[in-house]
Amino acid sequence: MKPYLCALVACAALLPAAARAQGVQFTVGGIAGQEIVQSHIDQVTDRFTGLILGAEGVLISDRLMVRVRYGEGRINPKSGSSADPREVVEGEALFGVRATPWLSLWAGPGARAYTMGDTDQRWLIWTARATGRGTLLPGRMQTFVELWGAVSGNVGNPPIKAGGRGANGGLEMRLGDGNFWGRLGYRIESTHAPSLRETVESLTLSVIYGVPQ
Amino acid sequence: MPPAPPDSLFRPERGNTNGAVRALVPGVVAGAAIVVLPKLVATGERASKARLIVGGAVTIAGVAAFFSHHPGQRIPANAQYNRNIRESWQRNVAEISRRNADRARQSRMIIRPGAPSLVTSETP
Repeated sequence: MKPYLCALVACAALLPAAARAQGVQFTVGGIAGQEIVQSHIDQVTDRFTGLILGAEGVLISDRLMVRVRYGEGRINPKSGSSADPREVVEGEALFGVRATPWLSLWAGPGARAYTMGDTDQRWLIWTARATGRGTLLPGRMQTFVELWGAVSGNVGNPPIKAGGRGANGGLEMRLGDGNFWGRLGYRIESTHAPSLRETVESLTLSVIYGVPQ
Repeated sequence: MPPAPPDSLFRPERGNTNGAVRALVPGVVAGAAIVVLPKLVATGERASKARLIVGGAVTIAGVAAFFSHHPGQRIPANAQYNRNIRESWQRNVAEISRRNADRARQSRMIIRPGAPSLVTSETP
């Protein structure tokens, strides 16, 4: 086994105990999502769909939180389109504060990169977000809605100014009596730049260890 | 006698309407938001049906959570649980009363005469 893989496994094994010792809660989860992308370049519109797999994690210390998400996959053009398939890599790193028990405020960058044949297209958007949570059945079922707007952003090389906004929401349900939760989520984001516009929708299923917050 | 069981031991025999509404509201609001928000976020785009699946699931979950609180309805399981507590207490009271009555019936007062003593006004 390669040394870096050993280090990764050791970190994964030790992180829960270390986090608990510091009074820090955490959640980790795996995500599978069906993504639908509408891409407008000048006057040409293409639609793509594909499966994105990823992971996410949240660290929660009292009122402060850190959230990271990573996903990658391949999206294929809908039939009748002459566009090339795209390799997709996306992620975000957000810092948050719990303003009230049901409202969290977040800020941080989100990135999305496409590889289309020999060319790349990279979107980097700095966002401000608000997440509201509601309890349906205490300790068993909860719901959430998140809204975000771009503070700044760019796309391409050389970079051109980009903006956008998005939302996501869904349902989280405890699986059995253990510490695992399932999430059914919907995410939409619309980013734009001069002569470019991308609208990405995702229907996601996640399995999360720890209470999502 | 054993004291009557405190109220805190009893479960509600009727569903809590306020709790049910508190469960319903987040489900319906979040479900509606998920259905409507794509129109605001991506104006002019044709949003997929995925939002209807998730928004519908969230709304249904909220409605299910509402009914799981049995708003205003009798909860037979809780009524039976409370009845068991009351009956158990009443049985204890009856048993202790019976034992006390038995004890009172079986008790005898025995008076044994002691050595005679002379009591006078000079006696300290």
